[in-house]
This record gives sequence, C-alpha cells and structure tokens, in this order.
Amino acid sequence: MYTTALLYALAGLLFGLALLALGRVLRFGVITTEPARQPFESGMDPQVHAWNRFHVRYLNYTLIFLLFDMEMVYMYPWAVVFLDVGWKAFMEMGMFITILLLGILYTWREGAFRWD
Amino acid sequence: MHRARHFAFGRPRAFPVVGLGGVEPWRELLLHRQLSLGRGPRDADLLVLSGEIPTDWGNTLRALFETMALPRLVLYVAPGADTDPLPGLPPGYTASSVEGIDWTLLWERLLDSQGPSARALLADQPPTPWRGRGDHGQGGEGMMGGTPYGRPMAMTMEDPDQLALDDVPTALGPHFPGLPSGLYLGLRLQGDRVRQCEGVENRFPSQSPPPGSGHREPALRARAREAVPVADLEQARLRSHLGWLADLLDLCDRPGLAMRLREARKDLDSHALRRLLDRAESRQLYYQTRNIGVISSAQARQWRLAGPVARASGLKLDTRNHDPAYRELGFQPVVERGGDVWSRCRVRIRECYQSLDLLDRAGDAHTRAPEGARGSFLDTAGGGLDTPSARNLAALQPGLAGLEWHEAVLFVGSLDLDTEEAAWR
Repeated sequence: MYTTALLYALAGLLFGLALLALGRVLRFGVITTEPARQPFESGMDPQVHAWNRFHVRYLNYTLIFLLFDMEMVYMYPWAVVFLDVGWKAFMEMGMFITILLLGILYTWREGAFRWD
Repeated sequence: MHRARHFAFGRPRAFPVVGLGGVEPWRELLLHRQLSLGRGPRDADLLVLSGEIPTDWGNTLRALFETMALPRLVLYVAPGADTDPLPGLPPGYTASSVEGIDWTLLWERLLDSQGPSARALLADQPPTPWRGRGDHGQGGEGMMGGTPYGRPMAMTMEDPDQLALDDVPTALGPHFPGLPSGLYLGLRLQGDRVRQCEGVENRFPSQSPPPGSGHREPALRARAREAVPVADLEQARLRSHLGWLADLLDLCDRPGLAMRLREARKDLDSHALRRLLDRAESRQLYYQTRNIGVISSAQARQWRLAGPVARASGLKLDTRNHDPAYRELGFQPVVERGGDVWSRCRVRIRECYQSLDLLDRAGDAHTRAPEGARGSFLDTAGGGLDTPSARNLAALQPGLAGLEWHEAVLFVGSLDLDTEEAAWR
C-alpha cells in the first residue's frame, strides 16, 4: 500500500518538474536590467517610492459578508425548530430579517453594490 | 523547438501608441483579429506605433518598450512608412497599411529569440541610484520624509473620510491604455481615488490641420465657408460616434459588442447599426456610467465646453440649429440634462439615430454649419482655429478631482477627446 502511495507521490513530483522544465525550455528569456524592472508609469520615471499606504476599503465587503453570513448562521437552527415553535419563531425571524435588511440598505447606500 | 514555441504562444497582445493620423489604422488593426488588446506593456508582445509618431516621444517609448516582457516587437503602421519610426527603438516590422502586413513574417520576427528586440535596450543602471547608501545600506535616510531606495516616500494627507493616507504623485500618459494617446495627466492619488489633478498636457505638437483633414472632418471645410454635403457631415459624425462608443464599450468590458460596432461602422448599414445601438444603450451601460463625472450646465458654460459634452449638460449648443439646410430637414439638437457619463452616452447614441435619419432624408442638401462630431470649429480672436477637443480639455482638471480611478477613466473617455485635433491651431 505504501509503495503505491510513494509511486503516486513520485509521479506527481516528476510531472510537476516536467512542467517546470517545459516552461523553462519554451520561454523566451527574461530581461532583468533595472530599466526593465521599472514600475509602469506610461514611460515616465516614478516620483516617489512604490511603498505607500492606501485604504482597501474592506468595510463594505465585511458588512455584506456579516449580513448574509449571520442570516445563514441563525436560519439553520431556526429551520430545525420552526415547525415545533410555530408563529412565535416566524415573528422572531421576521424581526431578525428586518434588522439585517436595514444593514443591507445602509451598505447599499455606502455603494457596496456599485458596478466598478 | 520553434514550432513548439509558436504553438504555445497563442495570439499576440498589443499595446497601442497612436500618433498623427493613427486612429483609423489602429482601429483597422483591431478588426483584423490577428492580435488582441494588452492590459499594459508587461502583458503586451507588440508595441504598435500607429500613424506618424512625434520625435519627442522617443524617450518615453524606449522606457515603455524596455518594460515589455519577451517576446516583443515594434509594429509600425503608418501611410507611406518605409523606415523604422524612431531612432533608439530596435528595428521591428514596418507597414504602410494594415492590409500590407505579412502576418507570417511578423510572427517570425516576434518569435525570433536572437533578434534585436530580445536584447536589453537601455543600460543596466537604476534611474535613482541607491545601493550602499544610508546607515543600513537601505539607499537613503530613514523612511517617512526620507529617501529609501533612492526615492522619497509619499507624504500623508487626509482623504474625504478623514483618514491619513499617502498622497502619491502619479504621472499617467502620454501612453496609457484607456486614455487618449498623447494625453498626460499629473495626478495625486490616494489609493484608487484621484485627490487632485495637478496638470493636463497634450503631448501632440501644435500644427495646422494636415492636408486631408477636411476629408476626415468635413466640418473643417464648412468652417472655411465651403458648402459641404449634409450627408458627408453626418457620415463623419456617425463614424466618429460609433468609434467612440466602441472604445467606451471596451472600457466597460464589453469587447464583443465593441468589435461588432467597429465592423458596422465600415459600411454604415442602417438596419444593422440600429440593432447594435439598441443593444449598446443597455441597463448595464446605464448602471456602469450613471452619476459619474457630473458637469452642470453652469460649469459647461464656464469651461466653454463644446458639442455632445455641452449638450449632455443641458446646453443647446449646436451650429446646425441655425443652418437653413438643417432647418429644412426639421433638425432639432439632441439635449440631455443629467451631465454625467450616461448622459454623454445617451446624447451620442441618440445623435447616431438622428444622423441615420438625416442620411435617409438629406439628398444633396449642402450646409455651412461647422459642427463636427465633437462640436463646432470656431475662429479664435487672432484668426486661428479653436477646436472642440481643445475646449473640452478644460473639463479634465476640475472634473477629475474626487473620482475613483474606474470613474476617472470613464469620465475621460466620455469627453471623446481627440488629442491630435486639440493641437490644431
């Protein structure tokens, strides 16, 4: 059994190495001089260093994730007991969805669903 | 080996640089489907120089070509071209027309791993030397306010959300995909937001309209008091608007429809065009372009904007409105009130329908209205030429501030700037 696993691992390794070797043989070479590694700025020299801080604005993604994730987290156990508890469970889920809906409307206003 | 490489390579990607009279050859080249559009120089295999390239673009083009990954080649397409375009660029493939390109030979030169394009073009020196400098060999003094690796760090500044973000001076153009060729924008970027546009330059040399411009833009002949067939003026407008719409659809990630519009603008078949225009004026385009780059009617008047850009902001500026031939045809200028990118799309799409209608009814009517596709050609106080593209450039600096980058590209695209025309005097 271990021999088969070892053979599979070896075959996988060889296949990977073969692909790397094929890429190396087929590629056209690389120019690694300083001007060739310049960041693209339409042919102009960059004025400042490439390290800079910018805001990724994850807030909107986080909000969308939380809203839909929390909905699912609560809905699964709720679906299990819904028939036993009845109308009370229905009202509770209604309130919960309403609160989440307000969150979705807020996120919408913040431009999270905008087409970039 | 060569055949294996040929097989593995696929379709070459192009990075276009459009020079004088180069717009049409480039569009024709795109239609040939032998190449596709690259996303930037590192992604591209062909540096396509279309039209006559101004000699002072040499330094930026050399720097650009050097950043292209191998294999790479300069493809130069210009009427009457028989030599290599610029000193300093390696010899590539030169053709006087797109039909004259021998694609097999071009492929051979592109995939030649021993050719002149496969060697480094510029000396192996950093543009800003830094090795071994500073206390720790980091290339300078400190981090914030210092110059690590030979370049200063960007300083912070508050953004509209009161966050202290780096304010990065960025030069875009004169060769940037998505911007008109020759247009240089000096921007201050905070992440993907344009904080400020510090400078706008048109890198095309100032000159009088070259011979043959009146054929491409009949409104120039009308400005010289020549009676021009209405059909000529409207065909030129239709072709220009369709070319612009195809470029904008490319920006909006709809390359299939863009290509069909480019094909349809060759023979201007009314039925096919109406169908394509109907597809282009979609809800998707509306959601991608609404509320972006809003120009109010007061701003349009203050900045002296012209043509469809002004009409999309509610101004009824159209010299055809006062022309007897057009009045007889029942002409009414197309006006929208929104002033955003979507309104500018709507104005041009509605003007395409209008031009198709006018072409049906124009017969041999002649006009002296100097209203081109981008607006009216006027006389300056000194008797020179005042082009609509030159006037519309005024919207860039104030209009770009505060836009996110994808909005900024759409905003610039929606102005339909012909940088070559903007340099006519």
